[in-house]
Amino acid sequence: MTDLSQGQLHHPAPGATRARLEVLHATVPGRIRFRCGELRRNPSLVSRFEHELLDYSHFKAVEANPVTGTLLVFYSDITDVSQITSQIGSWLSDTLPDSIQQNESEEGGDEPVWHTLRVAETLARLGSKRGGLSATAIALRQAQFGANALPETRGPSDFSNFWRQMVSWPVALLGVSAVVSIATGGLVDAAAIGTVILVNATVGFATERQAEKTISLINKSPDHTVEVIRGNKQILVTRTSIVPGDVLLLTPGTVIAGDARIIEANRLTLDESMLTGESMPVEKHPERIDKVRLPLADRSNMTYLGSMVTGGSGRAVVVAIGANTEAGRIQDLAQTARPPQTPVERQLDTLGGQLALASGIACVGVFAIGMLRGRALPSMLSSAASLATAAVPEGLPTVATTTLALGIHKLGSRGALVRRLDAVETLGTLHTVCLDKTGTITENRMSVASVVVGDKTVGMTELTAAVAGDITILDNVLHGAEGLLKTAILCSDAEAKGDPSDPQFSGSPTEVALLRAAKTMGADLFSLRDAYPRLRTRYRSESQRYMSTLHRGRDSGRFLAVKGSPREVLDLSTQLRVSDGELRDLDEDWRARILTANEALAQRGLRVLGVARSATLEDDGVEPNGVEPDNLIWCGLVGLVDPIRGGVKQTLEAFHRAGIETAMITGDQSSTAQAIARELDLANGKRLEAIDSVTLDQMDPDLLAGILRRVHVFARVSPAHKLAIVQALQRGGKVVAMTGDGINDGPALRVADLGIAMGGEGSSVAGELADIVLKDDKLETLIGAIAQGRTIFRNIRKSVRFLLSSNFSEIAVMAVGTAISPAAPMNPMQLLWINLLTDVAPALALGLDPPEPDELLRPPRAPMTPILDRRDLRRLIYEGLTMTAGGLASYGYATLRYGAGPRASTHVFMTLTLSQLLNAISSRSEHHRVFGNRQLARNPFLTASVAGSIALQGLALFAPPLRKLLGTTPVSLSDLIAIAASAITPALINDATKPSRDGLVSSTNAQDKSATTQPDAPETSL
Amino acid sequence: MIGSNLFTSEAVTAGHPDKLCDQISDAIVDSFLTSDRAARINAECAVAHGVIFIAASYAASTSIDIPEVARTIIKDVGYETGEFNAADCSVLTSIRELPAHQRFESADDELDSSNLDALTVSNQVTAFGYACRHTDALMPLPIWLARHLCQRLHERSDKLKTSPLSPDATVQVGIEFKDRQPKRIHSINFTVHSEQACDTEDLRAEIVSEIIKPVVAKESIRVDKRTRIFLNHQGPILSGGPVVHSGLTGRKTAVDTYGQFARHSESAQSGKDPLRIDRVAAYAARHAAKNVVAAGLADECELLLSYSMGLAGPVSVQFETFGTEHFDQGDIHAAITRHFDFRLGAIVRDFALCDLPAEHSGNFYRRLAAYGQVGFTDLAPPWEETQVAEKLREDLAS
Repeated sequence: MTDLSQGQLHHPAPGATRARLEVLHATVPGRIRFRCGELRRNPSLVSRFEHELLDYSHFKAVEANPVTGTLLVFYSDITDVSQITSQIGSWLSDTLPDSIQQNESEEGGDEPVWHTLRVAETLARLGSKRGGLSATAIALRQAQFGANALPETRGPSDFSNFWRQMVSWPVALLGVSAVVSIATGGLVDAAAIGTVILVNATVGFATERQAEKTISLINKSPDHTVEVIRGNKQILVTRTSIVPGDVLLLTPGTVIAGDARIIEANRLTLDESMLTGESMPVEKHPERIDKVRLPLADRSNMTYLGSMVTGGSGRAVVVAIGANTEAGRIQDLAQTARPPQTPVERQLDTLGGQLALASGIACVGVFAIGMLRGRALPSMLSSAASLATAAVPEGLPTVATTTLALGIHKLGSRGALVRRLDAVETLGTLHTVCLDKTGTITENRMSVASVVVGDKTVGMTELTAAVAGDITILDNVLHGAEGLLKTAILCSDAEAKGDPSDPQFSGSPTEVALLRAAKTMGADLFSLRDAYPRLRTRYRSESQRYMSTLHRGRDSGRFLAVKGSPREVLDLSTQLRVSDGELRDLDEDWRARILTANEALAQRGLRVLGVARSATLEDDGVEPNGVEPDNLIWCGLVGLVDPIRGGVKQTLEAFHRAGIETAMITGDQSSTAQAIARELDLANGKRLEAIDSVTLDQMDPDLLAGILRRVHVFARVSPAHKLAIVQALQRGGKVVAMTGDGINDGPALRVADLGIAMGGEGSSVAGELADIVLKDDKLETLIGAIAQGRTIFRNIRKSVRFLLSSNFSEIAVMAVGTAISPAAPMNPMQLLWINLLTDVAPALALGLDPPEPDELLRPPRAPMTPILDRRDLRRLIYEGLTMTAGGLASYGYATLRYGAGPRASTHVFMTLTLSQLLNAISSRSEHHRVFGNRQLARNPFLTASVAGSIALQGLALFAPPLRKLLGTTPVSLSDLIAIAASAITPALINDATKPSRDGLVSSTNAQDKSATTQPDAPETSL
Repeated sequence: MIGSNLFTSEAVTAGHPDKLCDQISDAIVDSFLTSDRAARINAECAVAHGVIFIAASYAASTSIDIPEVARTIIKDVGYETGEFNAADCSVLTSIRELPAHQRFESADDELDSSNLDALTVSNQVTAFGYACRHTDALMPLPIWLARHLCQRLHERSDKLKTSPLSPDATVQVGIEFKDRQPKRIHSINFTVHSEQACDTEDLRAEIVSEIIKPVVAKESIRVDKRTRIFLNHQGPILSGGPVVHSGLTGRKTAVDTYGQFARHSESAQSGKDPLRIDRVAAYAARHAAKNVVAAGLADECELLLSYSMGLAGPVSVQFETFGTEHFDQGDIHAAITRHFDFRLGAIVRDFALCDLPAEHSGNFYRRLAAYGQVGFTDLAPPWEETQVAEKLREDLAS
């Protein structure tokens, strides 16, 4: 110990070769801090350190930190540091072989750098095999490593949330006025101010917490199932039960359950955008990479938790789970981060600051006037302080959060689950909705409608009848159809289980439809797959739009079954069977006939698949993976119908009426897409603009942005290009929503302003990525959600306008009153009372106003529209002035009648309060008259809060304790009439002089003019 | 023309972006008419940056996969690999489907005198037809040679030994005239494109032997020692095709007609259905002019037809014979009026314009777009027939 000095840091400990143990800090007697790489993300080792080391008598306490990988040891005896170090080092060496090493460390250390190891080596290190782990090994590891789950993110604590409500300029101003009150002896006033602050903060805190609870409930991901190989068998297990060493099976749509090393890959592509930001899928392979220091995105033989397989197939062995994964590490760092403020919240924050400043200046002004008039300093101070309290709309930011939060709740009850607070706002500015055809516009419930054998088209009903013997059709057509369907179902992953006469089908809708059709034709689904066992599968991918499978033939040979895009499969085929069963060459004439039949099917809106098979080939020893489809025998075409969901057409019409453009995205060929677009009237009566491209992502982005301005249909577009579409539309300045329901939608859903997933089975993957999940798969819900989104912005505007005009009137009355009259028009308590009564509940109630009837008949607002602009301010001041006039009139009347004093104060106090409550009601609509308007929907909250406030005001007048507190006096009937008149008149004037929408076009409606499109002059002739 | 004179005409190969657009437009017309002879169709095509833009309005009982048609043509013309190719290019379509009652409902009716007058034109045009004795096909020599050179060049562009060429090329032919008769080939100017670098001299030599010689051999005029043959005279051989320069339907109307040796209407012909007088009047005018010359009434004849909207027949029928007439012009005019019915319905009926695509396996108007709307005798379109010449001769002999 004595030979240690500060300079000796980071020296490697002697004897600690295998287990790196570095002394970090040993200058303080009795404690040493070590760094031990093995500790990193190894909770089991941590707990062992902390418990077993204490067996050594001279260790008083041991603290090990898995995040930083450091070890803090407190020891009692006078022992040499090096002795302690070697003790710990040898203990470490003894302990380590028992536990399996986890995860690679970028700083080196002794953990294996997985991507530099060969597959065999990786498996060996993990103690695993290609066939997976045995049951005992799994049990052992589950005990050792625990569940494969990311630790729950601890958001900021409740206290910090509550505290945040109180940190703002308005509250600061209030604080100052509270201090001033205390300084001038107004302790009750200070207490009242404190109450006001607390009430506001509590309301804000409560609603925000509710909102976050709702959101986190939606965000809780269910425990998905994962396909793994254990004990050489392929089984389904829950995600949380995955352990290092498990062999994952990768097929399109699989979400990776833990960090894993690829051990087998066949055109395997993955979407890693969550981790690397790389939006296009990357191809993976199993070979080792020599470079140790390699960025995550370049580790093309690794795959990470949260990535998704977009094409091809393969296997991977898990190397890290839970918090030890890359995703887990990132989450560690991001634990206490708050979600960012929404744009509206930011705007209101700024507004609040500006208003606080303006109110502060006004109050100083009133104070100055008072002083000039020669009033006592303390009373003027407290007056000005209370005016500050009353004038500042401290609930401003709360209004946004509350309305948004309540909006989320409302949307949830209507079937739209919202994940993020600002998604509600974005709903209000939506320009364009991109709809995936399959699953969103259609039900994704396919069934075979027609089959084309040679050049003869026959419907499924006819085929079924022919099989039953009710009708007769050409023999070769019947046999051709049977063969076609049998080949198609061999080349598919769909399964039939259970009772052979009434089986349960599982698999993709297309493949299940083929199974159903084959069953109706009498195929024996169960024995077919056994009769022709599958040797290898090659899935449909971006570059190869067909699936091909290799099977063992009846005798020793092998044959290929291929199904996919009609044109591509036709290109691979060189022969077909004609009516007499003979094999004929596929010449130009036949190809033309087949393509014509394809066209005819597509025009009916059917999805068309081409099916072909190879002749039975000799097993020439070529590896299954090396057999390529070539020289196939064309079997025919299958036309599948996917019914359009009910209500979609009306929903699209509603979108168009609301000024929202729609675009349909599909991988189908042009004809199919256009047939559906026609059926839905996607172009809304105008020219149908369609783009047919497989290279959208390679097009110049500006060119694409220009082209896409008005495109309605995207055909033959692979889902991976959705991202390019979204980005191009956004470049054109549009706010874009994208619907998705499956693989490959991840990047597009993330980049879109609004990612929407259809809830319901089979879509949980997209559901986790989307901002909004539509339960019940109903697109109509989106319309309601959009109306709600627009309404929320409008309601926030209403609240803000109400607060500003009311508070302006307060300041104005006080300013003028102080200037003119010998006494202050209202006492501080009265000002605070007004504030509590009128600023809190009615403002919030306004935020809950129901949507206006024409909300969905107007185009969306521009995203950065300010809440208030110049025109609004002018109108607000006008409204405030009318209320000020009313208040001053009342004060003047009372002063003339009773002299300046409590009685006059009571008058103006009553008048202003009533006036502001009526203003709340009037603020329900900016352009329509409210009083006496039967068409306006009811807002029970507002009615309740206004009624309640009026009742409380009455109490203030008649209940003795309140009268004492507020300093009010009794009023006569004629006084009441005068008060009522001076409150109702301004309200009526304000209501009656509301500008109509066209008369005074405010910025929020600027879209109206530009969006009013001239209807296309109908072309009468060509 | 006075004294010795040089006249040049240019033609382009089928792979030239403008011609490509013409072909796509007409292939769409072919597709529609093949499946529904009463279809009305108006298709226009533009290509730029490797993106195809197609605007189509149609009234038909079926619908066509327009992007597929475009891709087939692009592949056929020779753009199969390379930056712009049939499989990868993006096709943007803007389609208006018109109500079915706007189809050509009387397509199936017998078009006779009673209903011919009811079929009025809905476009206005002044169309020209021309014929002369330079070639057996009664076409002016400059455009005739230029077109055939282009045709041969396009057929052999990927088989040339020196260097494979892009489907996009232009040929300009200059003929020396004396007293309105072609005397010699003054010059031939090739502008070709290629992705690869190649030796210009070798290529030029190969073009002379593989392209020029076989084409000229079929004509009565020869290439002599003074004939100047240029190959990319203005600069090196660069890459071409739609990636480099854009194309638009209807920008090669001179190539489609007479190479400016005679007047032609500025209206594009490609992409229009047979009921558009601004397409078919040119056929009728050519038919009449050719028969006049074939009948020996004159050695050169340019016919002018003017149409106004709302009328079935032309408001003006004029002709010019440049002093080569062998009969009184008044008599010729009378004969023309007697033997040719220039009403829209008559043109459609006599040439069976709605049925031609079906009769040629769905590939008729597209080939006209590639090789010439008039004067492309390989296809034997009805307006190149000279049966009426006999009757004209008889008429004027009497």
